[in-house]
Amino acid sequence: MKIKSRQLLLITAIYFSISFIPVLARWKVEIFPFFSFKLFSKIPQSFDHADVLLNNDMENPEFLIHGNTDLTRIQARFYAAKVREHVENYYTNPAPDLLKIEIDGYSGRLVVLKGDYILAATDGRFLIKSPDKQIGYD
Amino acid sequence: MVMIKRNINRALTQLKDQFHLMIYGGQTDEKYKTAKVLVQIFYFIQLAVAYQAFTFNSQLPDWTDILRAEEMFMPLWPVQWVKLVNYSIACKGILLSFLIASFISTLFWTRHTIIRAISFLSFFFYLALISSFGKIDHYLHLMLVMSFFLVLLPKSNKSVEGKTAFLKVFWFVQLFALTTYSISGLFKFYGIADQLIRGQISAIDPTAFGQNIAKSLFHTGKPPFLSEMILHNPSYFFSIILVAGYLIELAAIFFAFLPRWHRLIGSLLILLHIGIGLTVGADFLYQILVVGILFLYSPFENKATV
Repeated sequence: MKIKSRQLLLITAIYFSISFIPVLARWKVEIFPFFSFKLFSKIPQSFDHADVLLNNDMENPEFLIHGNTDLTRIQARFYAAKVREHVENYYTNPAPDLLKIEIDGYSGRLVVLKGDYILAATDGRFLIKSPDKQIGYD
Repeated sequence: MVMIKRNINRALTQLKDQFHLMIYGGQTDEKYKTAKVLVQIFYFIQLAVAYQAFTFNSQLPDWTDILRAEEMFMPLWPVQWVKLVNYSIACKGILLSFLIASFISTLFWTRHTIIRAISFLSFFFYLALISSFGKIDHYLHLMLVMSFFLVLLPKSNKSVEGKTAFLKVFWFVQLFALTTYSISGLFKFYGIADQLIRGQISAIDPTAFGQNIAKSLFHTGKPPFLSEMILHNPSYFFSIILVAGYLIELAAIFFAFLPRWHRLIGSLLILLHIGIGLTVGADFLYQILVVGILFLYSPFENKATV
């Protein structure tokens, strides 16, 4: 069977239509592989990342995700997704016990890292904030 | 309104004429032979990707990490079935199927549609598997979509009709690839307008490029080759380079209809990805390879159509 141009156009149109559904509906998943059209489409103004503070040393804080070179790529992604979910749950229902988190043997307190990317990358400076209050600077 | 409609119709007719010239405008045998070799090379590259799924130093996730990550498995819809069976066996099966199907398709892709279909499906399941741990990367998407379209190649390529059908599919892959770049460019220009209206730093700000670089550096801890220079020297020069990149993306789709410029757009897109790699650090090797196959050696950039 030889495919016609219109059939190819139709297949392409169907693919894009179905792929655009999660984008328009703002789902977090894809139906078909969809290119990251939004990647680098806006210049970051600042950052606001959920993480887990594993120690209480403000001079040398250790985080579950940021700067943790022991994690595999899969672990880093999975933990990032779980911590994001955890902080969203906290903002929906701010129960104090949700500020403590344990994942796969790592335990610590839920924090939000905030700041400017350029300052953070060049001087290592950013805020470490508890979701309920600011607790220190790095 | 009538004038606009007339101009649109005229433009569409010109595009249609250009398409017909590319596909039916002579030297079909030469164009077909080139396209066939390029498709052969594509399947060879897919085999290389499938092989890398078993090695430890590539961009792809380590297979041992995948096997150890059952508790982190958040399956996308194509691999929901993995939860119903033994996880380790299912993952090994997906990996091995990808490798075997890619090897077979490298040798026998011309023989049967079903071989190309299985090759695509094995790739699809592999990509779904590695994307099922909290984040979807996009560096293999263009390869996967090309693998899908190649399933639609005609069964028989001996007749002129078969050869032009082959060329049609090849050209549609080119069109699809360029469309994705143009859509990406559209989002980027929308981003500029949106951020300007909101009074935020936009792509035309001297620090814009540095912000993108710093974001990558913050997350990876690894400085891309040109990152230090750009971070410490904010300048409108770098904003111009950034916006020029956006323009190349936005304009990409038009080059599908300009075979004379296929090599040019291929070169520009590859340079774009090289630039991204040297500055922001994102690795788009597989994308570069596909763009190279599709445009640097385009079968349509020949004397009949130039």
